[in-house]
Amino acid sequence: MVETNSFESPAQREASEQLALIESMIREGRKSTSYWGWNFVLWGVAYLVATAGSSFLTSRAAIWAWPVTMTLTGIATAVIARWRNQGEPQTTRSRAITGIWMGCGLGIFVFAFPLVLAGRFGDGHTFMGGIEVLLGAAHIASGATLRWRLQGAVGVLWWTAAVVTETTQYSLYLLIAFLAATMICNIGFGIYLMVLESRDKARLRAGQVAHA
Amino acid sequence: MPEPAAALPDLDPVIHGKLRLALLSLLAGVEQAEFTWLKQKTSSTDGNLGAHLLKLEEAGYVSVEKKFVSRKPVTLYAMTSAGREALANYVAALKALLGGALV
Repeated sequence: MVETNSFESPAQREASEQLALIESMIREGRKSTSYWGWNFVLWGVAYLVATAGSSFLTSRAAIWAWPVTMTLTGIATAVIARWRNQGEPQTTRSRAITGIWMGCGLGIFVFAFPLVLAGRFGDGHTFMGGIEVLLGAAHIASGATLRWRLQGAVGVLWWTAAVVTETTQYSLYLLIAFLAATMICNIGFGIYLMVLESRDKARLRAGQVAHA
Repeated sequence: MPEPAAALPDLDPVIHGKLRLALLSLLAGVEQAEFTWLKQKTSSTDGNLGAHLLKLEEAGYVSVEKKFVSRKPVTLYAMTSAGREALANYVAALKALLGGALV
């Protein structure tokens, strides 16, 4: 970081201003990999809808609650992401994060769809636990890539829910663990990211580069 | 006793302008960027931005790629290795000028 009030000459002051501009622009370019808070909220709501569907629909329809909700949410994510990220530049980091979440999403699909189709949804321990483990892994990998402890903690919360889900004997606890993790790790975390996004955009509007 | 005030060394005139420096720095953090994204980040006008990008292109500091995405023309800019070197040299010159004033 450059201190700007201790320079002896106008040239040094100008140089420090130039360095500050370079720093801020490089930072801006690297972090403008688009914002995904909306996506966490969308998937959180989708999990709630799928859980409600599998709990309250008749047994035949309940089987399809997860596959249908997940497929529709996947399509919605692709459409919204394409619309929101138009013109956003790609960075190595953004491609790494996209890879992590694509791997997680496809992993959940490959894990869950055959279980549902084969009628092995069972009591939900394996099904829900598997999803929680994959989500936790994606958050921890993403947190490590971004060097962001908060997201790592979100991943640990998903894994905690997975341990509860896999070990509890009560379906109610399984449901509570999944709903709590969804509310905190998806909806809460997503809303937090959306707040950060609006703050960042306001700050950017306030400090844009003047026309040279 | 204070040292005599330093003068700005011979800085690369192509990137010394505030907007061109900002553009090159933005491109340093990404692989490619669209004209519209650069315009949004620098709050510049089309004409002004286009003129400055052209100067960077003529100096060999940025490369330009034009293509169609969803049948819309898109202009993509990327920093070249010469541009990266020029920015690194520019930063080194600024740091040399600042010397001990950097904390």
